Amino acid sequence: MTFAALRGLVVVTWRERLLKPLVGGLCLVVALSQITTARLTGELQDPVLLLTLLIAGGSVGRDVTSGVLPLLFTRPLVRSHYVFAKWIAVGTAAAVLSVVTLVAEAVLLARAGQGLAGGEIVDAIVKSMTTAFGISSVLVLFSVLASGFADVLIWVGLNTLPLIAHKVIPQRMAEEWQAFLNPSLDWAATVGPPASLFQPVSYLSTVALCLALAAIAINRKELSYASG
Amino acid sequence: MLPDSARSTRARPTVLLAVAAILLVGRVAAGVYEARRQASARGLVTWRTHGSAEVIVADAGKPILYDFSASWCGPCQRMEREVFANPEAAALINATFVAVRVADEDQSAAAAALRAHHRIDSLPTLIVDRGKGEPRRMEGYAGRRQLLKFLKRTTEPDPPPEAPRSSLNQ
Repeated sequence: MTFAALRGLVVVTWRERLLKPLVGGLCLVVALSQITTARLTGELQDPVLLLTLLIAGGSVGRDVTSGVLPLLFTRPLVRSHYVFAKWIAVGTAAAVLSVVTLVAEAVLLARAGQGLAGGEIVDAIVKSMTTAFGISSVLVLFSVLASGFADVLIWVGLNTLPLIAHKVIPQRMAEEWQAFLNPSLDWAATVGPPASLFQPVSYLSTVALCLALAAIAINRKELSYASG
Repeated sequence: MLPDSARSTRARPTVLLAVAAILLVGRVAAGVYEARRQASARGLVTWRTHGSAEVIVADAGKPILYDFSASWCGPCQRMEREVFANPEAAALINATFVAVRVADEDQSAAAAALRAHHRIDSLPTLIVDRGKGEPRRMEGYAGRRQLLKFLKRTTEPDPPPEAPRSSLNQ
């Protein structure tokens, strides 16, 4: 895949996601509500989870149901590159919007005399960005497997599973399950002291695994105009 | 890189698969290593039983830090690993507070009374009781930095009460 083709797919996905009045409006509402909450509580409020669900939900599944994907795959496009481009597009959109919201919150708090330490702001930004790309990779995997916005339903369902069955599922397994579905990087805990190698390796492993599985799944997918 | 037209559109992402496999092995190895390291770091915070805490606080003049947690609660265990097994954080807690852990598994009457008194309805919850004024509380675990910030705030004196509005208007 050439860089131009990758860039084209990313830009098309941004347009398709962010210029929809409903999605764009909801993103704005989420960001403004978090900024208001931050102003009231004096703490940074990270909007990344809701923004990622709004932006990344149905990233591939919607292309299947709308009939775009069979048409797109008539072109000489490597399928795994399509998955990669989708992940880059939704991940960067969610990350940028979340970081802009966090910076706006930090500026407002500073102007109100409730300034936060630089380290705290950096921690929040790193966590927000890694969460955006992490959850996007999980949603892209589910989106390859399910049509429409079913990926979000699967994600919510799998997240609630350990809460419902906490007496049956061993605690350590439930923790790993949650970490798999919500990959993020806590910078303060990673750099320590003591520094944690598990945190970054676990995060990168989840992202790489989800993208690899998504690429395998889309390679095996048979598409027709009646796919949806 | 070959142009797209010269290779299968269903080409297997070999590099990505190899990276994912290596990271998976690294994840397991790092998990085992850190679990062993944490096991050796347990016990850094001196936890008291809730029956003895009031006696000690009277002697030491320190506020009591209650940790309401459970072995089945994921965020509680993360807090244990990232805060209570951290030498710097444990030293701060031992120097500043009388630390009392009230585990969810403890079904004694004293533990139940403490939960009812502090209206505990979610885990983990940290309560700092300074013996005077309203106890300060933090529900949930939002990371080590946030928790340490909360603990440091609890050691600061209460802000002076606001002057009555009527006197300001005069």
